[in-house]
Amino acid sequence: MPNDQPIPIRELPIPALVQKADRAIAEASQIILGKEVQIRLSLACLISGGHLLIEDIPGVGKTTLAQTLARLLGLSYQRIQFTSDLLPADIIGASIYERQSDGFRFHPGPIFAQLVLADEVNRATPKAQSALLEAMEERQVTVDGVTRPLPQPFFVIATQNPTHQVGTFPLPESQLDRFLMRIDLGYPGEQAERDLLRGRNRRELLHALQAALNAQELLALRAAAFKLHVSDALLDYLQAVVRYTREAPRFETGLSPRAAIALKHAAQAWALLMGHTGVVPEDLQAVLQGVVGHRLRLKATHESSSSATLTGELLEAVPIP
Amino acid sequence: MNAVRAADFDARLEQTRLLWTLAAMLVMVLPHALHLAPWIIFAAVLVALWRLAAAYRGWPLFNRFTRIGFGLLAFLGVFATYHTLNGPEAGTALLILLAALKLMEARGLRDYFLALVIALFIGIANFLYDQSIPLAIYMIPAVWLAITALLNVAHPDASRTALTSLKTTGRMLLPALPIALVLFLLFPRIPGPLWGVALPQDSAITGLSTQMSPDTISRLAQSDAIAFQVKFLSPAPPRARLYWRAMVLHDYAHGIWSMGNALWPNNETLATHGAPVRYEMTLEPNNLRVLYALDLPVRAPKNTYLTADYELVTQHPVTEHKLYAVTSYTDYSYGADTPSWILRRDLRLPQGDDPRARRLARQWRATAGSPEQVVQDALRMFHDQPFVYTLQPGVLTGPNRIDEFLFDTRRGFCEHYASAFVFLMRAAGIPAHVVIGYQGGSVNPLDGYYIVRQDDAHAWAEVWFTGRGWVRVDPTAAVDPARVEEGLAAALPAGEVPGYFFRSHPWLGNMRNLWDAVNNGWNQWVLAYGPELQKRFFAHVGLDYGNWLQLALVLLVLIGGILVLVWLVLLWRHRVPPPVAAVRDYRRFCRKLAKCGLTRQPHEGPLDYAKRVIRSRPDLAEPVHAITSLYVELRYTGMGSTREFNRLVQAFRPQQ
Repeated sequence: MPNDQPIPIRELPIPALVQKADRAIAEASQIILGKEVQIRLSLACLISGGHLLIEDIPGVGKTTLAQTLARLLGLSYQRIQFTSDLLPADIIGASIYERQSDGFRFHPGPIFAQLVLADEVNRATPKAQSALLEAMEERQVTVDGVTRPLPQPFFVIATQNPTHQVGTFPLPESQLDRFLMRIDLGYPGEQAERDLLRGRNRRELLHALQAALNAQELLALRAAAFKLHVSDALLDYLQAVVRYTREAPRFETGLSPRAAIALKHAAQAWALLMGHTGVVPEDLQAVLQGVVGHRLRLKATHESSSSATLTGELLEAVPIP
Repeated sequence: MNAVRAADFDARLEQTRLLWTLAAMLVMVLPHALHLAPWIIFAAVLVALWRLAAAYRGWPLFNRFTRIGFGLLAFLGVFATYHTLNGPEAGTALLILLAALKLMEARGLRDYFLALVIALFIGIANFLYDQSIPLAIYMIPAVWLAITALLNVAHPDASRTALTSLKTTGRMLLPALPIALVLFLLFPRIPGPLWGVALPQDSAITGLSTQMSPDTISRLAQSDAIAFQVKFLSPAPPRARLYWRAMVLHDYAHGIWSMGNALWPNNETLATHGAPVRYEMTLEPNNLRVLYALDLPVRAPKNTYLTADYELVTQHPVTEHKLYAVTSYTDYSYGADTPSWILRRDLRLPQGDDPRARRLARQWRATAGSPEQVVQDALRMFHDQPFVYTLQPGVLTGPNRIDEFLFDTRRGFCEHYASAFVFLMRAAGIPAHVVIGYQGGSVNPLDGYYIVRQDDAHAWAEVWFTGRGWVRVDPTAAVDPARVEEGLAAALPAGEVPGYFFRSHPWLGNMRNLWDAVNNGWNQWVLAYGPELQKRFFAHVGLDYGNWLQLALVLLVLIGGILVLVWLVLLWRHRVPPPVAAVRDYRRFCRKLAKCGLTRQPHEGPLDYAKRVIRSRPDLAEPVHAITSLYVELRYTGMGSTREFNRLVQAFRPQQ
């Protein structure tokens, strides 16, 4: 079936998968309390094939979210703790001499997993960061002249502390761009925090968690998401948003075409998770903050405002055509 | 690697620019090939070919000193050909050669730009030689091409085809048309020919001259070129009265009649009968200082004056189309009080020649009772004796040409009859002179204009009677009345009729009528549009000629208006498309809810809005849900029925 044909999702086995995804989200919400939207966003990000950056202060559950997702999605999982003395070889692996075979053998690094958690990515030096980011972009690594593909699917969930904290190397804009979404978790709500304090140890819960989906199903969901109908009306809206960022005087740089494509894919994945048969403006609005927040920069002359209020203003400024 | 590719790219850029510039040059220079010395065009083409080879084969360009040498050669060559560097011909020749030399060193945007501007100027120079419709039509695509070349030189774009760039410039030129029209009509006209440049005055113009020799008129009869066109404002006189007066010839010597020197101011008595005839003339350039008018004009148009012979004389030779209005009386006699010392001029004959004619005249004078009787005798002779009206009279070379014609050959064209008649009258002691001009003309049924062609050229006589003054006598009419009443074709023997081709094919004749009408319109409204016509146009539209401040304001307003109009058209073309039916209906639904105090925010999605509405008005949940889900389906999934949606929105009536 050609790509541009609208696919009524009800006629495919996709609804069952969407239900499973819903269940996964519900289960994850049992562990990370009161953060359902962020969990759903993360899942949408992974479904649309993008990498995820979680930025927040330590202790609000960034790592737990990444681990939960890895478990629920049934992916092979590796964690790399980024430190200032981390070397690229620690990420992608190295060829090591073996006496028995009298030759070099490649020892794959932790990057060779379907889901890689790059914890505190901004604490490593730019050298190590770029090793990771290159692998993210190319979905393969080259060591000693041999190119090795990374497993399919391949996701990176990176966490980082706010850049003003001590001992961080902020990611440059060009590398931030490689992340489809950046989300922050924020403090839990009053009730959620109470439940957190009363409830069981998170680590135990995590270990008890069963995979709700597998890699194959995740890829099927991605295919379904990319076939989801995107109407001209929605593209008009998307372009209006993008145009606004380029024309409004308060932004240093507008959104790139790559950002526009990212926005479309993320909105499709979100619409799929919401059970919509086509992408509606609300889907776009839901993912806008995640996709756009780390790509927009205010002009230096304007008063600083958080990326969330910035996206909020952007949303309100652009009418839905 | 990159450097190589960049150089390659530059070379291709250069080739594109060169090709476009050459194309523009070619179309602009081409019409000049008709009148410039061939070596100039040849040299220019040679340089162009060499430059092409240099661009595609990588030949080196010449150094500065060689180029200066070529430039000097061009100057020398033009000077050797035209003996001047001034004037239109030498000027265009120099322009073309220097443009070619500019191409020789052209490299980069600026040089090509300059070359193209020169090409445009060469194009304008075409109109120095020719202002006809075919050239004007040719120049339209030529200018279009040159502007397209300008676009492709300034913004070379490999992805743009020649056709799309033509379309682009076409769209750009289109708004310039009304502005050009406004400027043409309103911009103050400079009197005199285009740019005051004197055209090369050679024998290219067919028409009357200030002399009449035995073959002057019969040679003109071979040409069907238009002499002038007439629009009668009062009823047109019958054909036999359509004598168009040009010049009066007084002096006769060696078979040649000429005007003589003196132009007396006109203060003679004039007797007219009947109604005046008013008409407008569009005169083709005749290179003479004479305007033609229906016999006999009574008032001179502006900037001309009437001589004692009722010739309309202008200050400068007519070198471009001239439009003027005249009033004439076709029934007249003038100059009854002309003193005898002036009349003596019209009695002079060369001594000794043509004895037989003199004898005949003296014999008439002796027998006849009055000068009128002598005229009748002469006309009767032409009528009764076997005189033949023909275009091939044979050549008369002897000293006694009049005798030969009158008594031996008896074959002649109108100039022979007029000449012999005036000779006889003078010999009989009756003052007489030759008048040359045109007789007749044909109506173009398409626009009602009378067209008088060169083959209508004619010569007749005027005779002076005591008490009456000068009276027109046409001896040709006595020989062959058909010449005057029906025209040349009816009067001549069948084998001699010129323009035979048009007459034998009626549809060709119609085509010629159409072409004449178009040409006439072009002459009247475009070429003849000078200060006088402009003044008339200003009066017609209520403008004050000479009030330059008012004119400047009008120009400003008109051109500003056109620009605003173009801007509005562009705005309209880039307008937001009207909302589709579903959006219209959804907006209606939103307005209905807004009346209940639930206004949708512009950035609020339909699902969010529905949620908010249902939260505050649970009673509307069902219709709002139905409408919203159908709208989302219609708008964002490409499914659903517009009609059903319309019905739902129609039926939706929330209680306030």
